Amino acid sequence: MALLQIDDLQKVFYTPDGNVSNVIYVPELTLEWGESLVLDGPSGCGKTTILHLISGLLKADSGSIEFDGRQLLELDATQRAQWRSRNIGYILQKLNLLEELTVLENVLLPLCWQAEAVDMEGFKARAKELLQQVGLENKLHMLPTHLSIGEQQRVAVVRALLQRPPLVLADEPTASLDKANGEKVLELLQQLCKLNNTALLISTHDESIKARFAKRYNIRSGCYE
Amino acid sequence: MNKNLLVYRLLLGKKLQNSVVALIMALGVALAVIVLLLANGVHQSMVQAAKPFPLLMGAKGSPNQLVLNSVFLKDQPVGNISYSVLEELRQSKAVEQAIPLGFGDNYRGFRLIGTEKELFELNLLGAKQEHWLQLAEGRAFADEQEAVLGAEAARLSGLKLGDSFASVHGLVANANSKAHKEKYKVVGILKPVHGPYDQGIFVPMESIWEHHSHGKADTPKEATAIVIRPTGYAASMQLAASYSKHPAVQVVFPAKIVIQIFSILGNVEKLLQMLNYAVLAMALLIIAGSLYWFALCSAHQQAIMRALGGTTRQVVSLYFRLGMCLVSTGIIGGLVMGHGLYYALANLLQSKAGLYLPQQLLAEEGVLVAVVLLLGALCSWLPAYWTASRSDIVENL
Repeated sequence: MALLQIDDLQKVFYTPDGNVSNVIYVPELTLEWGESLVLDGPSGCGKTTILHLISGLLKADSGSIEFDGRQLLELDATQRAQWRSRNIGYILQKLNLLEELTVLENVLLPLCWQAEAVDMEGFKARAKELLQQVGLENKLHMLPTHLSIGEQQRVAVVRALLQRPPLVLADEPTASLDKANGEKVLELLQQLCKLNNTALLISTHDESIKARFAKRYNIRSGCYE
Repeated sequence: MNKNLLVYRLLLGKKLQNSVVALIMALGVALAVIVLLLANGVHQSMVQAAKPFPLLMGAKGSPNQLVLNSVFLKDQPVGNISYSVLEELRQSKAVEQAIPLGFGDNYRGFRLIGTEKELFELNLLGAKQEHWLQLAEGRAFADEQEAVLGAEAARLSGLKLGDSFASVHGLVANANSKAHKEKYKVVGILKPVHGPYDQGIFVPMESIWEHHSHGKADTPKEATAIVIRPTGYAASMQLAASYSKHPAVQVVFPAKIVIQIFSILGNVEKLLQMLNYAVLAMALLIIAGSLYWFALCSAHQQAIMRALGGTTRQVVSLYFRLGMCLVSTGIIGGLVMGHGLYYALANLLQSKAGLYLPQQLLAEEGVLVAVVLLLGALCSWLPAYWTASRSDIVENL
């Protein structure tokens, strides 16, 4: 069974006066366990929206999203949030670290929302290990404002992988980085996903990034390339 | 990472804003506490001060002035009454004790109370039958120029046993007043009675007459007031009735007068309470507004939390906790500030007015805390719920 199976997914956006402003449609998309896939398409074509639909931050109007055999469109907002906290590692487009928390605390933040008790010490050790792998072992107790943008993005990557989720969604993870830093973050992300057998769904319009992935899905055509 | 640490970090993140909110809350609570404590403390201290005076006789005039002067050692005496009334009272079967009080002189602002030795044997009302004024050091006066000091008068004036002092004419300290030639010798110091009489200096009635006769031999003997301890309740009513139409004297129940005085003060208390409720309401509105603003400013934070798996309920609960932290800090701070301020005011009133305000925790404070907590909870929950349930996560990411 595929990890993620999307069929005839549709989300319609309306203007304030009721006219249709945009329609996002995905006829069919499949992602296997541990597989990597690039969502390809120009800016504004709906890449971020599809990631939000998969993560459950947005609810589709029709169609089907099956995750490990579970139909996500049947879940209510609370169930979607709980499912998300267990199954999705999300690297958001903008740098989304809480300024009030240290690097380590930001990485551990998703654990706050777990319904069940978690092995905090175990996760703390894993967070430190991952932060060491991305070269931030000396910045555990620093606030994000004292980090460079590249370092902040590395923290976001570690945060997404902390709980070994089956799926990581990465929305333009290199958009705010220079080329060298972008390469570094991407390499790290691929490496960690491979190591944890985590599937990766990454949205980008950057050709050099697309070139690093064997499988692509073009949103405009609704086909694999 | 747990939610308590997260709340703590978020609070620290906006230190200045949160401190101001908690401070406003604390000021509101402190004001409410002060009004409650003062009203209660002043009432208790006034009742306490009037306890040794079951009945009080004085010249015709304002009963309030008579009580203020004789019980609280404030204001001017109404006038004097003939000493023969005292002798008449002592013949009455309705009277257990009748002791004269004479005012007119002071020493550095401490009033001299001309009286008889019997005052030191005046029993307090109640089952214990203990003396109101008890000696801590020395003895009661025996000679005309001997004095016994109240506990505070001794402490504040620095006079000790064996010291001498000259009193001056008048009820308040005045640099231009001429000191009497005859000096008093301190022969006794009283234990504290926690009332205005702690600031009194007790001297024999004869010395007051002597100082005010200005050498005239035929000066009539007079007293400013007479403390009467009746034999019982019926006797007190009978005494009050029998002197009600007397042309020169009046008999009052000091406890009743205290209640009347307090009812006048009670209106001020009510006004203060209303002002105070307005301040509290403002503080709560500021908290609600501030938390709403806080929640609005945290829309991005909330969106991150929810994108990372936080449910609406969890995020609302987090910001509710944050609000309650501010409310609780405000309440605790307000209680500490209120009691601290009350303590300072009580000390001031003790040294300036001889009123002893008790340090206490009131049941009304519990009610106040419960009401503020409840309203604070509402003010914390509403903005948190409003923003978390209405804001668009995707838009705020």
